[in-house]
Formats: sequence, structure tokens, C-alpha cells
Amino acid sequence: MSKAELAVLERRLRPIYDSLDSHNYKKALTECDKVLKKHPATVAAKVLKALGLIRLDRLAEAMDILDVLDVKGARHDELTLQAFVHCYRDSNQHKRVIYLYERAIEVDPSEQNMTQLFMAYSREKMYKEQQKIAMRLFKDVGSTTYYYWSVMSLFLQAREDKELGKKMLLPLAEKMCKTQIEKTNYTEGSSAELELELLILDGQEKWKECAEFVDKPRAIGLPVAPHNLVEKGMEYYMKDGQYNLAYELAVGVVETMPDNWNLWRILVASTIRIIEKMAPSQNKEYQEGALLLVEKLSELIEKVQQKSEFKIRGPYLASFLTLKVFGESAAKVPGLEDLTPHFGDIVERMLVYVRNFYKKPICFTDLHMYFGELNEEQKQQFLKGLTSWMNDISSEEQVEGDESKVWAILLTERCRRALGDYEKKTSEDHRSLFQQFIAQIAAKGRSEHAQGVLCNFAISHLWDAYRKENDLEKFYEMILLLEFVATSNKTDPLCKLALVRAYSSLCITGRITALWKVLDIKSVQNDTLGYLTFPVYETSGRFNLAIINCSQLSIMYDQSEKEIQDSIAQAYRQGKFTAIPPMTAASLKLRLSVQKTAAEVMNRYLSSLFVLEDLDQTTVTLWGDDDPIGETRIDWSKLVDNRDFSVLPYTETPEYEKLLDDMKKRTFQELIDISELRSTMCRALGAVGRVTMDNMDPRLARVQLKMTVIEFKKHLEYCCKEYPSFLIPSKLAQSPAPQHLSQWVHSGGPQMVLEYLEAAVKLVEILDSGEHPDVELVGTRTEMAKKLIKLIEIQPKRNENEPLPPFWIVDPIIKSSRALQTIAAIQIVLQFIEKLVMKLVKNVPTTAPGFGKPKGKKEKKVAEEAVAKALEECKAVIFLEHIRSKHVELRYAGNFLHTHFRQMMAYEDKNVPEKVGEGLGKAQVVLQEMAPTIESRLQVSFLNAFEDMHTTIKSRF
Amino acid sequence: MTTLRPFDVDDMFKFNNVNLDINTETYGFQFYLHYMINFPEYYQVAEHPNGQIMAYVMGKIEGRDTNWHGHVTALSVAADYRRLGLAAYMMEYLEKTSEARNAYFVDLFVRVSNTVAIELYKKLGYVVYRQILGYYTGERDEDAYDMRKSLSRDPEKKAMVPLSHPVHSRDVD
Repeated sequence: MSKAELAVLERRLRPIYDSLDSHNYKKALTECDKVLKKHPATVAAKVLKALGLIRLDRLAEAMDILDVLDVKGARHDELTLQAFVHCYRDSNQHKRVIYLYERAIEVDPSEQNMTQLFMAYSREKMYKEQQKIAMRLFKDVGSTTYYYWSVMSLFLQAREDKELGKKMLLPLAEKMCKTQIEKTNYTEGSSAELELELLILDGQEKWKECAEFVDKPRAIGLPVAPHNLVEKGMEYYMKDGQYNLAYELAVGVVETMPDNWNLWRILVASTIRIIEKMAPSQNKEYQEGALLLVEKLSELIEKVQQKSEFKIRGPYLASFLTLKVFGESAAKVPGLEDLTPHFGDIVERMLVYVRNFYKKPICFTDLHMYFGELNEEQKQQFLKGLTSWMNDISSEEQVEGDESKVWAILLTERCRRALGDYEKKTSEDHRSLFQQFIAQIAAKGRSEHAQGVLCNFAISHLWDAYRKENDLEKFYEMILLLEFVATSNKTDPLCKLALVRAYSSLCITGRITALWKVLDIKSVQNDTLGYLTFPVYETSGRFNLAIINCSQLSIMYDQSEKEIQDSIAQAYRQGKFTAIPPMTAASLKLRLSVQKTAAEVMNRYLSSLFVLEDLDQTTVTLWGDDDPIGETRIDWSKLVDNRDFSVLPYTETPEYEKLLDDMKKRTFQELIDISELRSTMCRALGAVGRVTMDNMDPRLARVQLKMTVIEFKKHLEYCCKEYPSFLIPSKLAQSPAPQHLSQWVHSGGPQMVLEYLEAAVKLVEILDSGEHPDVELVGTRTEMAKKLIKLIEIQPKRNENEPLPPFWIVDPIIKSSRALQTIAAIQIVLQFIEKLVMKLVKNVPTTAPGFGKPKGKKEKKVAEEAVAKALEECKAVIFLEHIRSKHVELRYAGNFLHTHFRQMMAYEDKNVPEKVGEGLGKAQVVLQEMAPTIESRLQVSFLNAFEDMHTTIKSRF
Repeated sequence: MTTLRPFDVDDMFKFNNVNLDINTETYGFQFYLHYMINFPEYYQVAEHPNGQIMAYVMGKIEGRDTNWHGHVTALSVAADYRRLGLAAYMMEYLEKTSEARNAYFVDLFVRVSNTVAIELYKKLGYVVYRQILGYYTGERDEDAYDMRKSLSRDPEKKAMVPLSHPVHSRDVD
């Protein structure tokens, strides 16, 4: 198509593009029809119509259009091809983009089409294929750019297959690169060749060559800052075992860059490596050599420390690092067991560090890294020294606006906690300290940063009490203090994050939404921090909000994936090859994100249960859009954890690290397991619907039904076993929002859904054999009612004459939400079962037995009565009536649930603790003043949860 | 004690402690990757020995003739790593990089309400060159100051002579 023709076409399609861009998809369809009425042969308009249908979730109709047009031999213009790509991307059929362009280059092997094919291969990591197409591009177009694309493709193949890479692919890539550079030299103004050369050398672990390469004058052309290049060189020397050289290079620059951690790391590591390399023996020469090296390092640290400015922390920390590295090393040099004569006493050095840097918020973080080097005695010495120093600081006069003392207090208390001193104190001591911290937080003129850090530390012991003793009074005090700070402190994010964490276990969705907005969580942050709020809207029964939240997450993931792919394409075009591997890794990290999968599954699950009306559409959504097209299904074992748990800092003893690690592993697995449970339930439900669909292969649909129900059953059994009923959600301050998988699998709900799914499997067999089903197949109405009553037993159990505990309403909210999900899922299976019977049932009487064509009114009436009688006796009809009566039971259950809501809202038991801040003296006022506002906020949130669930009951059952 | 290293895409998965700052905007992938691909030497991350990101600076070199300059797109230091001189250190780094690229000056845009940052830049030798009306849009609409500092290629500091009137954001390149 000529440029002029393309311009005409583009003008014609403009109204369609505009409608699509403004998300007005129905209008886009109308615009497509308008164009097609005038110009029926406009393929681009047809494809754009399919795109509109996809965006309206009408995938099946869209595929009918696309399958006819995207065929072998068809020649499409650029605009049509782009429209196809959008269709396939939006419907997650990325492989079809490849097939599209593979066919396109058969009829039109243009540079544009081949480039697009290369990028499509790149997205799917089909490096071998992309290498071939790059070579073809090079031969056809003659540009060296494409030649280097081919070399890069070899490099990427080598990363996938390390052995083949080392033996064959990388040497080949190296040779290809060299030959081309010899022929055409380095491209002016481009770093393409240099980047490739270094990547290939690095990939082959040719460290010596790498080091020499970055040392060459030409290396300045690499897209790396000069100092990064020098450090890269040192790293290569280290890897090559040239420790002396690395040491000398580092010594040469450390005086000018005394705070550069990399340099100190290299200096210490090279010293120890040199010692380790020397033959370990008792001989004097070895000992003297080692001693000399240690002295050299010690003198260097001392020299740099004296020369550099006071605020430079590097040399101070270098001595701690040396002690740590020497402690961990296998080389035990006689005479060097104690390094005190060379690097000073570690306790003394730490106290010097405290004195020099206590005003910096970082001081604790720095020291914390080396607390592991202290033995018990040294810990006590350090704490003693710290207390003595703190006393001196306390007696100093404080200038107005100077917060040095606050940072001193913070440092002291954080160290005490991290070294285990805090645990030894009594609860009265903790309370007294808490009181002092509240006073510091509320002090006039307190900076927002200090206030946030003070509050974060102050709540530590409250979290402890909540975690270890389930002390809900302290938990509430914590919320009040956090709210006190969060309300007035605009810049501190810590208190807001901690509040989100606390509220996620209480189903306080309204405040979570508000805090999330204030924190301005965007883009990739939703992946790394999403765990703080997911799945709180679902557990709170606020299904519409949950769906909106999950849809927004899905949009973010799609957009991010697109942006990364576009950036990879840009990097190829500009020859910025170094950037490609990390971008590819990031793309994979997002694709395999557990948060992404969990949100997508949740979206499918809740939309099917509570939003969609049309049964066919429900079937498609439940089944998911991956399988019918043939793309890979979710591989649960490959999901990755991108959650960032470092945002809420902690100061606990090293044992806490183990708890954190354990929590990370367990919550990751729980998120996978609950998502898989939802997914397998969706697939099994969808499989029932698929048996009723006309466009399905009947045999395949039946096999899939059996398989998916078994998969759901197996996974449910696994979850029941792995998540016993007594399991409670993790209560660490850093833990994610609770999933409550244990509650769900032991509620009886999923088991009820399974019963009906298994009944559906049997029903299909019965109907296929020409028989009619008995009502027993799905159990009696009474049996169902009994199970439903148990399911909706959500009221809290009350001990006689005792009020309910604080936050008693949270548990009923979660149970109600899960009960509603069960009711909705059963409703869908029953609807599918009805549809199955209507579609598959045979031998339903249409004429009365023994009658021919009725003659006369009397005979006609008799015949009609006979048919009615036969129908009444027909098992299938009776079965359908029974199913309908079950729908009534579900409706009753929904209404009863609502009655329970109303009853509970009338309870006089308070949802928050009666006592707040007892024994805190004046500090109690701070908490008490916050209490009424917070209590009413919580109450509103609970009420909203019930109101939302009531709306669901009214609209769905 | 800091490691100054080039930005890595993986940093986006762990830069929350920096980006949760109220004055630091979080963008989509394309924004960060554009700088990583095109201006890697202008995009540096300061890392603490414990692996946490302490701060980052991202910038670019652009313009023609006497307008050839380094531009600071973003400079952010995590709250816990402040008062260590990191901002100054990274600005100095960016200025040196621009010097090496023969730029005339370095400029940056800052919210007019961000007095702490404005004072810091002034201390580092920057002047308010002009006010840009309606530069920041979204949740917090606000004007920006365009602050500049001449490099050795502009000995007469012509780039730093302030404009007498504000300009609208639509008139800025």
C-alpha cells in the first residue's frame, strides 16, 4: 500500500481510533460498522471491530472475525497488522503476534515486518528464531545494526543454556563480533560493538580480558560513568585472582573517595584473599607476611580516617568490616586471632562511632550490621558505655530546634532492643518507656521525620504484646498513636504504612483506601507493596471494590509489560545491548509475579460470582482466556515473590530475622495456594458451563470437566491438610494482609461447591446415557438447608455474662464474605446444571402415549392432560423443579445472613477496648483524644462492609 | 559509606523507601528505562552496605549551542539516609559528568513549596533562573522554579542571569 493510500485509510479509521482511545468501545463498534457499510472490504476496520469486542469482553465474537482474516497468504497493510497486534496483546495471545508476522513476511518480507517479527520473538524469548530473522534482515537490508542483533541473540541463547553457551555460542558470538569490527570498524557515536564485546567476554568469564578491556582508552565509549568503569576493572581483577593489583588500584583512589563502600570492600576482600592464598603454615614467613598485610590495611584505614572530613563514615565502618570478614574467613593465622592491637577494641570503636554520628538517623543502621560481631560480654560493655554516654548527653543543654537528644534517645533505645536488653525489662519498664516516647512524639516543634521514627519505635512493644499475647488493648493504643501522627504528619510514610498493615487485619477498608491514596502508591509499587492491602476488600465482602482494585492492578501489569517491551525494542534499535538482559529479567519478574496472578485470578473469580449476568460470558470468564487459545496455563511452581518487606523497619534481636524469613515463605505459599484454590474452583465451574456450549467439542468438554473437578478436589484436600483450622494469620508488624485460607477451607463452603461440581459430572454421564437424573443426585433440600445454616452461622460465641472482645465484628465480616462467595458459586453450578438438563435431556414426553393426532376438543383436552401427567412424572422435570427449589434455599440463606447482620449491628458490645492508655499519665490524653474519631471511623467501615454485602444479597440472590 | 552505581531495572522493585517520600513521584517503567538506556551515566543509585537504596539521581544532557546543558530530572534521598551530604554528593557527581560532556550549565526544576531542596540547591551554587507557571499537575498542582548553575564552559555565568518574568509550562521545552 502506498503512503497516500495509507494516509487515506488512516483518515477513514480515525473515528474508530478516537473511540477506542477514549475507551468508548460501543461507539467504536458503531464507527466500524459505518466504515464497513461504505467500504466493506476494509480489513483494518474489521480487525478494529474485533478489538472493540475484545475490550468489551466479547472474545468469542472477536475471534470469529480474526480467525477468518488472519490466514496464510493474506496480505495486510501496516495499520491492519498493528490492529491485529493490539487484538492479540489485549487478549493475551502473544504467540499469535508471532504467527501473524511469520505469515506476513511470507507475502511481504519488508524490513518493517521482519523487525516486528524479531521483536515478537524477543518478547517470547525465542532467541534462536530471532537470531535467524536478524541475520536475514542483515542480508536483505545490509545494515550492521541487524548483524549485531543476531550476535546479541546468540548471547541471550547462551544465557539460557550455559553449557552450550560457553562451549559454542559465546565463542561464536565473539568471533562474529570481531570479524564485523575488523570489516566495518566501530560505529561512530555508538557503543553497540563495545557493549557486545564486553558482554560476551563477561559471559565467558574471561575476567583478565574483561579487566584489560575496561582499561583500554576505547572503553570510555561504554555507557558507564568513569568511576563505575574503574570499579568494574577492580571487580574483574578480583574475579581473576589478581588481588594485589585490585588492592593497589583501590588504594590509589580511596583517599579521594573515602566514603566509597566498593573500594573498602575490595581493599578488605583482597587483603584476606592474599592471606588465604599464601600457603597456610606455622612458618614464620607466612605469619609475618600476613601480619604485614593486616598492618598495611590498618594503617590505611587510620590514614584515610585522619585525612578525611569528620562526617565521612567510610574509614570507621571499614574497621568493622575488616573484623567481620576476618572472623568469617577460613584462614586462621597464628598471632592474628585477636585483631584488637591492629583495629582497636570493637566496643570502643562502636562507642566512638556513636559519639561521632549519633545525630545521623543512619547511625543505628550502620552499627546494626556489625552487632553480630559482639559476644555477650561485649554487648553488655557496649550497652553500659551507651548508657553512660546517654547520661552525658542528657545533662547537656538543648538549643531550641536542635533534635540531637531525640536522635540520641532513639539510637540508645534501638540498640538496647537490638541487643536483647529490652526483652529483659519488665512490662512496667516498657510502659514507662512508651510514655516517654509519646511525650517526645507530641513535643512542640518536633520534626516530622523524627516524629515518624519515634512513633515507629514506640509501637514496637505494642506489636510485641499483640503478637505474643493477643493484647487487643495495646493493639488499639497502637492504632491511636499511629493515627495521631498520621493525621498531622504529612511527610512521614512509616506511620501510614503501619496503619494500613494494622487495618488490613481488621477489615477497615475505608481508611486503607484513603491512606493508600495519601501514600501515592503507583505503578510498580502496586506490585511490591500490594501485599499490604490484598485481599482486604474481598475478605471484607466489598466485592465491587475488590474487582476495581484487581482490574487496576491488571491494567498496571499490562501497561508495565508493554512499556518494558517497547524499551527493549528501543535498546535494540540504539544498540544499547547491556540494558537488554536486565530489562528481560524485569519483564519476566512481572509476568511471574505472584501478586499479578493472585489479582488476575481474584478478578475472574469475583466477577463471575458477583457481576456477570450472562451464563455464557460467566463460563468464558471462569475458564479464563488462556486455555482455549492454547497459551500456557499458570505454572504455580514458577511464580516469584516481588513483595518488598523492607518498608517497615524493625529493631528486634537477630531471632526476629528468622521469624521474618519464615513469615515471607509461609505467606508467599499461602498466597499461591489460595489463588490456586480460587483458580481451580473457577476452572471446574467454567468446565460445567462449557459442556453446555454449542461451540465446544463435546468429548473434550467432558474430559475437561472431569479433570478440573478432580484438580479442585485434590487442591482443596491439600489446603485442608496444610492449613489446619487452628492456624491464625501471621502477626508480625511486617506481615501482609491476611488471606484467611484456613478459615475458608474449614468453613465447609468450598466442600459444598465441590459436592455440586461432582454432581454435575455424574449428571452429564447420566444424561449422556439417555437416562434422567434423580433428585438424590444433588441431595435433598433439607440437607442443603442444614449445611447452609452452618455456613451462615457467623455470630460470635459469647461467654455467659461477658461482653464480646474488642474487634469481635471482624470475624463475622470475613465469614459472611466467604459464605456469600459459596452461595454465589453454588448458584452458578445450579444454573449450569439446569442448562445441562435442558440441553442434554432426552425422551421428554411431548405427546401423550397411545394418542395419535387428537380429534375434537374433548380428545385434545385429554391428550393435554396426559402430557401434563407424563411431564409431572418425568424425572428430568422433577429434577429441574428440585434445582429451582434449591435456588430458593440459597435465597433464604442470603436473607438469613442479612438478618444476622442486623442483629449484630444492634449488639451493645463495643468494637474497641473500653480502656485506653491506662498508666500512661499525661500521655494517656493524647490517645484518648484520638479515640472517639477512630472508633466512629472503624464503626463506619464495619457498617459499610455489611451494607455492601446486603446490596450483593439483594442484587444477586 | 556509599556505593554509587548505575541504576538497575531491579531497583524499581526495591526503591519504595525512597519513593514513599511525599516529593518523589513514581512513574511507569518507560520513564525510568528511557533514562537507563539513553543516559546511564546520568542515572546513579547510592546503595547502603546493607543493600538498601539510599538515594538516586537521574538526569540527562540536552540542548543545542549555548543551551547544551545537563538536566537533573530527579534527585531523591530516603528519609533515613538524609543529613549525610548525599544530595550534594550526587549533584556534584552530575555536574562533573556534565563538565566531562562539555555542557554550559546544569539545571533542574523544583516545586516552589519545596523550601528545603531550594535552600540546598542555593547552597550548592544554583540560582532561581525563572519561575514556571503550572509546571506540576495532578494531585498537587504547583509552579516550579528552574534553577541553574553555570559550569566552566560558561565563565561569565550567562546561563544564571535570572529572567525578569515567569514563563508558562507550555512555553518550556
